[in-house]
Amino acid sequence: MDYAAAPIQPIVQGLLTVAIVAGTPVPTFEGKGVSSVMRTVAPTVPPDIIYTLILDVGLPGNAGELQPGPLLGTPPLPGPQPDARTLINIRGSAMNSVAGGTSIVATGVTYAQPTPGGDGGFTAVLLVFTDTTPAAVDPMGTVASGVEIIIWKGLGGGAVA
Amino acid sequence: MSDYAAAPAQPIVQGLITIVTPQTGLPFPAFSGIGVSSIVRTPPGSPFSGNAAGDYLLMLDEGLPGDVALDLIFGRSFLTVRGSFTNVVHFGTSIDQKSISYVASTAPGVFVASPVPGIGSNVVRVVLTASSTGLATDPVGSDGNGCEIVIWRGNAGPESYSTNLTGPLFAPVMI
Repeated sequence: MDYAAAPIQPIVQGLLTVAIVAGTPVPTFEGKGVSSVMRTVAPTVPPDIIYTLILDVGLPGNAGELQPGPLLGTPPLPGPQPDARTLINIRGSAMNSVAGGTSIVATGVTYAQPTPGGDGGFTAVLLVFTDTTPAAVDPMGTVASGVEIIIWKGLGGGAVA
Repeated sequence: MSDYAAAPAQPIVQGLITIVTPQTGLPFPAFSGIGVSSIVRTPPGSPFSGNAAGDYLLMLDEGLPGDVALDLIFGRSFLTVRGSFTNVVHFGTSIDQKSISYVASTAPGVFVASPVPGIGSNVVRVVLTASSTGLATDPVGSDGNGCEIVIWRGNAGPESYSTNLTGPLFAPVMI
């Protein structure tokens, strides 16, 4: 197989930034492939701060979703999506304790279904940014000045072990 | 000047590393994707002193384009850890250090710590670490939900050379 015949073709690429509007952090996505972005805070300990990116239904080829993985468990639920690829880069902040650096040390990426009743495809991507506490943080202010995001659907292949 | 845009990134490896626990009850790494023919935990002892978890050797597929191995300086990669709902930060991950090394295998089951001259690197070592514990950690359970990996050969195109810059050629004058 000529793997080189399949270059990376992003379905999502853009910049996620957060600004304070009326005292509340409000996310903005500038780029392609995302129709909306939400910031959700849950009063857990520590609090959850989850950024949800809804994939654009106009994405090429698959109408705004990453195909579901195999069904696992009881009741059967979609398993991990093996073909999704996400690249995250944090933009540094001049106000960070390390000028130009960031306090974010880990990023969790999760593919999800924001609404029930679909065909099992993943139509949302959840992003969680964590500092050394560990606590969820916003990529803004002294922490960071945004997040670059690239998502694409890789080729299939299969399982090896 | 070279037209860099004429050389898209064309992954030779892309896939998802997960930890599976078959009926034996022993968790072992699995890879789903292309460009890798097998994945194993890095063995302890020489030459790698493999960690008990979060440490894997990925054998590159011999069918990779143009070569069965990578030249060390042309390796380009990224690793993304998938989040876990059971993490202390929901959908987060405890893995905050990710590293890749280009090593080699000279025969089945025989590994060396550096690429083989004239051949290159046909094995990639991935180590995932949680700095909170200082230990290499599997991306499973509360620590994560798998790790995406993409590797491509940089400097693709007709000009197969690499420019080496040793500063301060373009550095600003520091007063």
